[in-house]
Amino acid sequence: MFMHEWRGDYCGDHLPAGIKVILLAKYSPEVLVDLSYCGDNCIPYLMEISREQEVTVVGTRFIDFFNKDLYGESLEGVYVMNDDTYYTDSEKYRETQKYMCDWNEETEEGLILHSEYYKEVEHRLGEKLVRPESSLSKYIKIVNDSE
Amino acid sequence: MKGRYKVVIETLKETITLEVKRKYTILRGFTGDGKSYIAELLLSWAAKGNSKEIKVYSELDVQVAVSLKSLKGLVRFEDESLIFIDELDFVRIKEFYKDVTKKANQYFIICSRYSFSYFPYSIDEVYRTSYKDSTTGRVVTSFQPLFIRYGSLSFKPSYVVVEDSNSGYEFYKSLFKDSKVISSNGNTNVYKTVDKLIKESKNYLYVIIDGADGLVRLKETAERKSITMCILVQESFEYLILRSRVCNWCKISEELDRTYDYCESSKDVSWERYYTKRLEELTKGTKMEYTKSKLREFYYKNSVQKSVYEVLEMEE
Repeated sequence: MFMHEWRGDYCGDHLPAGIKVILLAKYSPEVLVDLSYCGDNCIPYLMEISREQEVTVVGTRFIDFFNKDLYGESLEGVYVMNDDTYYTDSEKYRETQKYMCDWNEETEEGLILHSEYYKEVEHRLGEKLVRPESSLSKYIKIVNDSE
Repeated sequence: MKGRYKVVIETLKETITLEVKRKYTILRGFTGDGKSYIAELLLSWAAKGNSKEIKVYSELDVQVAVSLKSLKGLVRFEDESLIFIDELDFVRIKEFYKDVTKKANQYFIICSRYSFSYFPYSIDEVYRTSYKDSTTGRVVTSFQPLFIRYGSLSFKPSYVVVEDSNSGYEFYKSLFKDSKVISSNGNTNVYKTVDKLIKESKNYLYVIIDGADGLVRLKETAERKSITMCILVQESFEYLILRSRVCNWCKISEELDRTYDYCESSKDVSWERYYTKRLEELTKGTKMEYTKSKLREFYYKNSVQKSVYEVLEMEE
């Protein structure tokens, strides 16, 4: 049972979505956390959990995990799956916002990938993937297209 | 459907008020602010009606869509009503706009933190909750605009990024003669274009858009790189012309002030389209005939450009 100052008592089912997401991130680490369910007041808690264990988030909205002014604390690093890079610098991490925008065009002939999107893929072909030690590979298997 | 509607929900200890005046209204804010709580209250009100615990006062019926199927059913009914959608994933898919809500007669209140690029919502209609304790001991919850328009035309730009192509682009090109005017060809590309300019460390930017909230973050990035950038958010290019002295003879100012009483949501999906339609209608057959594809010579006149620039300055 949970209590709210003026909205009365309610059961766990009716908890706000952001709090449910935090609890899931804490107790079932394999869950993908959708950031669009988390308000800005949830982010410090997600950061706190990420110090103990890996938290995988879906960046449906961009959160600057390095912004100390906004969230009170900042992370040491964020691993971004789209380009297999471990970011420790806020400036460079901000550039990953581009993965959030849907720049690919849907035409009658089919889906046309945006050139920026291509570049990243081309850039990393033939390159050895460098990931932090606490890798996410135990959950996700990356398969090469040519295979 | 036209008009501005107020919804008041009263519980034992709280009064929630919400005002809707456009087809799409977005609610955002902190977790636990009570967005889903409103949906719950409305659902239980729909089942029981006004009771001691929940009272809902609204001119129109307020319905809650719990799935895409139920939303389709509500929309098909074509009854004037407000539809509340609480953080459901189907809002993110294109079908939601294209097949379901585009020609709908209803207004939609959507709870989501997602930035939608494929349906037209105004930056003014994104709200967050705010609380106030009243003297009677009740909590009064209302909704405030999340984004506050800011910026000033205080510096001379070297680059101007505009959302419009064709007419709008041509106009801005002649208005900012000394600067390089870049058209991003659509709302979704603005972000990409500005991002590119910032990366190339181009200074003194004006970004003129009709409302894309992702740009608020761009402003932050620009500040960090100490790039002077001004984001001018306005209804649309056509709105500027209608507001300017050039269109004084149309006597349209009341229509612009209270567009919600004139814009039919089933015909014009956004106010922007409504303004374009009105400008085309009003100027048809005159020397200042406006079409989206080509700009008439009239608009290149110095006096016309000056009056539109005045509106641009005034709106910020």
